[in-house]
Amino acid sequence: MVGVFFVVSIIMFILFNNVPGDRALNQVQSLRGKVSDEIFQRHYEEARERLGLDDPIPIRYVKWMGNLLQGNLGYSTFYKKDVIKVIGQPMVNTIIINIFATILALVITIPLGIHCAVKKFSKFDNTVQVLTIVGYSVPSYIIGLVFIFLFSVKLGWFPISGMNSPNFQGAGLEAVLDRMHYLALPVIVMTVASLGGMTRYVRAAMIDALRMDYIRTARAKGLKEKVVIYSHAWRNALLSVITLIIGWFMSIFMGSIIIEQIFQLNGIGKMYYTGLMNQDYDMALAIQMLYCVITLISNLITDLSYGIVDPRVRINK
Amino acid sequence: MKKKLISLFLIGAMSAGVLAGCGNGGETNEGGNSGSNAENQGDVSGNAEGSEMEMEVVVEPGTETGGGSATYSNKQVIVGEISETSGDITPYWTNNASDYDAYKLVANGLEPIVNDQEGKWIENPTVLEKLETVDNEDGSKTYTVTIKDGLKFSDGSPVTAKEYVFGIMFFASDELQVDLKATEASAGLFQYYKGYSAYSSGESDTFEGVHLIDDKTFSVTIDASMEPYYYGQALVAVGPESMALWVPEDVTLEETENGVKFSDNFTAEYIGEKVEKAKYDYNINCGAYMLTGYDADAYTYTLTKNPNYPGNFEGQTANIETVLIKYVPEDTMMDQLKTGAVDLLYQVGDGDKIEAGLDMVEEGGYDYLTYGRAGYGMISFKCNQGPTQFKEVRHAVAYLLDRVAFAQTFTGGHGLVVHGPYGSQQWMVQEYAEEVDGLNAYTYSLESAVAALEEGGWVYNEDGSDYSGEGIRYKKLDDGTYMPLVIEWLSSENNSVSDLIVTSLMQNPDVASAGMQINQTVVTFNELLSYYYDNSEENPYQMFNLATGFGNPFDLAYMYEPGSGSNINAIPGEEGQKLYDLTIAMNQTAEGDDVAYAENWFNFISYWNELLPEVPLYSNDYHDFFTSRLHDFEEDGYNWDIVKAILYANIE
Repeated sequence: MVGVFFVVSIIMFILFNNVPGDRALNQVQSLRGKVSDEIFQRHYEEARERLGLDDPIPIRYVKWMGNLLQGNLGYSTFYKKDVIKVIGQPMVNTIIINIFATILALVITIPLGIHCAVKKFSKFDNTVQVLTIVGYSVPSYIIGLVFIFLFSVKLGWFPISGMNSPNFQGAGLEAVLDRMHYLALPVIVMTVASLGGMTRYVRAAMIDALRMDYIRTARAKGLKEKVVIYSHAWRNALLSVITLIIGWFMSIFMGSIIIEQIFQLNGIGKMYYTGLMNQDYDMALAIQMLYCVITLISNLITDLSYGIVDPRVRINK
Repeated sequence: MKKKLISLFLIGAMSAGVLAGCGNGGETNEGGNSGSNAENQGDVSGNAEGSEMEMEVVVEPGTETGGGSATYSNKQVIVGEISETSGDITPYWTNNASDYDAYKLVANGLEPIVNDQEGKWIENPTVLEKLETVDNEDGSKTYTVTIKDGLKFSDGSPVTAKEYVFGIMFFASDELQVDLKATEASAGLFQYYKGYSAYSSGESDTFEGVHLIDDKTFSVTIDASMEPYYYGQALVAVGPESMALWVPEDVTLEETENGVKFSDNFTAEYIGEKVEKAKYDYNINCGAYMLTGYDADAYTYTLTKNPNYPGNFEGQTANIETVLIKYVPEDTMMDQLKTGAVDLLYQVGDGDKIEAGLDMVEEGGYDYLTYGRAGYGMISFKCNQGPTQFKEVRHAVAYLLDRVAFAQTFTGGHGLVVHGPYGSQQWMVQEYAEEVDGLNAYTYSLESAVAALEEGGWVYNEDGSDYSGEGIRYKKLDDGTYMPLVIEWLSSENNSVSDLIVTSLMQNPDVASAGMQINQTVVTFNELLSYYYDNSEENPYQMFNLATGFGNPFDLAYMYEPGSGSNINAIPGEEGQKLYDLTIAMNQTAEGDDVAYAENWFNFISYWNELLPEVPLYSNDYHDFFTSRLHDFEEDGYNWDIVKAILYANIE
């Protein structure tokens, strides 16, 4: 895992450092024409030195990685602050939004997927299949824009964007309600956008599980249908679904670039987008590495969880 | 039981999560609520909440919003901006347009010289007691400014001449510009002052051209090389800055024979921490509004009325109690106005958005203003290398592009074509309207393009034979070699103007018929800029497309100074020198001699139109859309922008 982290970090660092353009020039070019050429040159050289652009790439990498391991994620040229000071609040916001969306989606998709599997090819199942394939096929930004048009512009139920009312003076419960009012629509969109995939996945896993001999045996033993489905079939179907569920929970920390951008949510995904659009390399690279770490931890937790869910894959038993 | 516990835990976690998210995290900057300013904040909000009925006034709204009377609460207006707010309100470290608008509302207000609605620079009687001007023997000019008594910052602390001098000394200093990386600070007026180079580079610890005479008086001396200067008074349009805000208490200013100097403890290391805090918590200022806070989660600055603001040059103070500067995504900006999330969207330039806005106005409940953009989208040429070094080629490109259709298509009918660097709000344009109309419009014509090329000597085939009428034209250079008429064009990615140039120029069959070829290379905007600013003859690109704007004072000399890195077009030889001389002639018109200035201005515009270092493509008709509840709001985006106009506005 550590090896993968370093390999990814090297690849990402090289990619970001080979993006065309002169970062030092970008930082000072607003001065062009406003100051004398000598002063401009002085600022430019100072920027090059500050960014370490005159060092060879390996030395720059070692310096960057050394700082990264000490918690120094670099300096955001867009926000004019250390990256570590900038990403705290967006990370909290992202986690809050995604916890709601993830739990809501799981609460809907797992029972729905199971029900569709049990009642496969029924009218209800067929309807859900059509809807989920549509939902799965439509990009989340389309869903976002359609929902904004319907629920914000036409019906006026929710605000179009943002996380709270500007200049909101309330506190306590009032503030919570205001924030929930703002976050409701993005959470709904994120939930709806993820329903299709998960529902179909759970359904497929459950159909496979329900075909197994042990299900027939369980039913032959006269077990209640609920016990057969939830204790026997679902337990076994969970093994293939667990990867997806853990991935979802880990994505709580990653945010949704598209949804956060559409609804102007001050989250980590939006921050990543802003970093990329403004060539704020330290910011984008730091978030990219955060994604890398989350993915690696996610994989580790997934592997470990197999043992918990299925005793057959426990190594020491 | 176990399930119940899990459910309770989840509900608790969600509530805790939302509560945590509602707190003001690290990114939220409660600017005005700290220190002595908090007292003022309390006063203001107390008035607003406690005496709402008393604040209501009945006035006649402006005729532009319809007749009749309206009751104005003047509590709050939300201004939507399409550039993202960052919370970095002070512009000296480079910020966004929305941040800068918020800054101007809180920072601009006590300048002794200001510009009026027509763009003329005038004395500000609210601030200025006396202005004395002396022409010195060495050719420099000294302005001695005496300010009025009783001026105050937003926190109630007095504004004296020392605060004006501090503003100059602080932002012009080497410590701030280089050590503390405030690169934009050097873009001030101070570089016109005598001794600026020595002081800002750290060679001298005194600023020769700046003197602190007494509590009410200070002087600035304009360097002899800058004199005479038509916009001379504009160079005194400096505002005060609070020393208490920016530097530790024991940092002082000292007047010497050689100008003002800081005490020895004025070092980047010593002041750095305070500067870092002040640039976000910019809470002692002198504008019509003061910074109450920045909400990172709502991308919004909250600005409240400054109770100590004495008014602008007409004595006008703000009517509206609170102004919110809020970022709105371009995709949903019109919906935000429609749903009441914002009250005002300004400088809308996109044709589709304008149409949507006009539809809203027609349906009722909304009003709009429209005015021309002080700038234009353009094709810019490198004039020192490649085929575009010859003006006949530049002319031919202009003839081969139907600019009227281009502007119509790109702006959706809400724009026009200009033929030089000017805008309709400039008084000079109005004075010389007939002559401006007579400038060469380079009307679309293949015949004119071919004639221009033939006149320029583009009459050969590759082998030196006479041009056959097919393929690329060549020109015989002085060294005997033949240059092909192939123009390398660099454009930025995801750029709708570039897309339109491809179809209307690059792929236009008439371009090939004229014997010309244009090759496009697409890069990121930042990479484009690095080539755009590269004036060397080795630059592989000769043509770029971007947009430009100009301000007041209208001083373009730096853009055409031969050999300067800022001379993007790099017109060589006598032509370049003559164009520069014409900008100097404009600048060196005597102050107040508007007739001579307008004449010099037109001479410059006319010669520019002949050399054509840029091909202007479109100049938008900007639209401001706002709720009909907003009254008395008039701006032109150039002389009188939103920051000045908002003082006069009222909202129901």
